[in-house]
Amino acid sequence: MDPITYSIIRHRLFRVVEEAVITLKHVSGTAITNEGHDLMVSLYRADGSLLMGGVGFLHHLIGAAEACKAIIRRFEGQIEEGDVYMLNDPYTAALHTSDVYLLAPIHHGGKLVAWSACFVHVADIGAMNPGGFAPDARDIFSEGFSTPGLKLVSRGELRQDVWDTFLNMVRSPEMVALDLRSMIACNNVAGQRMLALIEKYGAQTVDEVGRTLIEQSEQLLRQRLRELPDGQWQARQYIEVQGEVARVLLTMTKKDDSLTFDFTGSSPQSVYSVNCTRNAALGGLFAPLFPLLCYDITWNQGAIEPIKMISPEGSVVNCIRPAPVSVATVGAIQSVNNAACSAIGKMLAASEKYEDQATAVWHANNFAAFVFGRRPDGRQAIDILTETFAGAGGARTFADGVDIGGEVPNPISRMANVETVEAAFPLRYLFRRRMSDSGGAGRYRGGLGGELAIVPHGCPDGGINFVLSGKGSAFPMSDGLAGGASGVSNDYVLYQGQPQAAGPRFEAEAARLSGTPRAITWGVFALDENDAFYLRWNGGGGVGDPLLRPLAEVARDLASQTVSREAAEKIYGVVFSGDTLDEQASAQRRLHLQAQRQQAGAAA
Amino acid sequence: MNQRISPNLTYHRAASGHDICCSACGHIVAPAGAGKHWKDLAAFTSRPVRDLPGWPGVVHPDMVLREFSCGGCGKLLDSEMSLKEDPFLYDIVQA
Repeated sequence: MDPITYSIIRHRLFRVVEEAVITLKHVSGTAITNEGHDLMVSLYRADGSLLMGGVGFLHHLIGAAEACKAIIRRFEGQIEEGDVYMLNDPYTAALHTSDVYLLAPIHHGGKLVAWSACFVHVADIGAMNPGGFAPDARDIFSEGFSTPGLKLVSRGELRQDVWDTFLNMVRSPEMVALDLRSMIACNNVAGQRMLALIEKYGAQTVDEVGRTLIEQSEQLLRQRLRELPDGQWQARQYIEVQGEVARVLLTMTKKDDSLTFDFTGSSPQSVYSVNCTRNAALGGLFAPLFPLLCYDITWNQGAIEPIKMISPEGSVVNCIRPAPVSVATVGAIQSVNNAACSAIGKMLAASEKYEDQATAVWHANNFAAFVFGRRPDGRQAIDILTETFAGAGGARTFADGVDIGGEVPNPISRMANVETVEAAFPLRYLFRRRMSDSGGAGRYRGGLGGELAIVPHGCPDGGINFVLSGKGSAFPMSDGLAGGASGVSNDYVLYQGQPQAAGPRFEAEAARLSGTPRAITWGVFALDENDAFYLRWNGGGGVGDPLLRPLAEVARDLASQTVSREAAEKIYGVVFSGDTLDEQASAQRRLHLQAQRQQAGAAA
Repeated sequence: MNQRISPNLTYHRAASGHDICCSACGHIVAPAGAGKHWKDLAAFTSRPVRDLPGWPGVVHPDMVLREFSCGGCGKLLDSEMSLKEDPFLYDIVQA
């Protein structure tokens, strides 16, 4: 094939996915989809293998491939043009029940030639807690509607009985219906654009490009792995829920042109819903692998081939049905993301050629805070606080992390404007800002996370409620690199019962919040008329020795309130003369601290 | 010829194998044939994470910041945040 045709078709495949994402966003009405971009669209070959990975939460590239294969097995001989299939069972392919896959076969000339697949986190799935994350669940049966595969649209006709049955089992059915319609529209556009591509260039040519892309991706990734040093890198993550501590332990081994992720040593599955299935863990490790190792390689089945995973059955990263998994995406899957990001970062940092691609772990601790209650117009509102997607950049080997700079597993994640949230929910923000000192210390510091406080506002019922799956306050999760520290952990505090006489709340800082503070992380909580909910989210990890950070950069951090005076003194070895940074005394102080380190004994 | 292990550590060829050295000053952190991981031989300090500036009081009381430094120049070679009862994370680059 001539290279120009090849390149045109390759780029058209990218554009098919992009246009499908735009369509999905135009139709869906939820903050989690439209603002947070908790979505994914990809194309798959006729056998379900990944053809063109799209954007959004990248763990789903693998999950949707497994979903395609499961549908092909279940509906063999019955897959027809115009069908749309639904799958959200985590023990078949999905990550958790609320991330619903809709999969559409693409036929040309009566022959199945490809699949388009997408997901959104639907507004509700009928789990015991609103919004899909179910911290109170102790098994999959309490986590809402779950299907290992059903036909939602048959030959272009919506199956109304199935549609009605599903919507009969969820809260806020009008929003969930919009979620489903957004995915149907998305798949329709992807299918139409793929058929236009095939009409123009021929099915055989398009298929040949797909095969070649997959072969190239495998060759390119294997070549990259050969350029990296052989070795073994470890990472450990902690997940704490209600006093139970689970460990995700990763040993990543790189040999020649293959990479093995071994989770042996991870904790047994939890009674809480932070577990993940094997497929979800596999998706979880690919979410950082694609952007960190395949930043210039097409994300498809070829990039999957050199990778192996070992995850012990019955562990928190390969749980056995009916273990609960509804919090998996911010639980074990995210810990797999973080551990893989840390280990890959260390491997890249061990290479002269790839040092600049190394990174500390980015924002590593999504919190799931789903708000629910009645709006002033009487309608029920359910949706997530999208600050969970705001993120924080990990430091690089040449630069600081970006403050509130997103996250690695979802390159398009973001948060809603305060005004957007206040327009949709009976809430008012007291403040939302960058959180000083939250980035991991280092020669290059991690990007800052943020903090916010909200109060009920105009609630017909006096207040609202929220479901919090907020692990990550007891343990940091965004690991540093090469001596850099982890980003500071999350914190969640409910301030209860400000006295009525004080009037409406207008406190603009955490230190001024009134009421009785109650540290919370897990469960369903009321946000009553006189309460305030404060939360802070973690910063990114740092890189290198903080004592090597130039004093001028620390001075800039102080001026911008990125670093506090206390941190400058205790971590960065800065000395002040009054309010002025004393360069000479600071240099002496740093030498003294280094000498103290030298004098420390060895651990052995 | 020296081989990179991390931004802060390098293998230097020695008669009996490879020494692991500080990239900044060349100090031998772990001599060839030491039989131990370099982290076990580096200058080591540990302090509670809870005492560090900026960390919330809800951090686990047994969470510690481990710092592994060069005994020759005092440069920080690596760090970990772990529960104090957990073993070190051992990274190994093939020489």
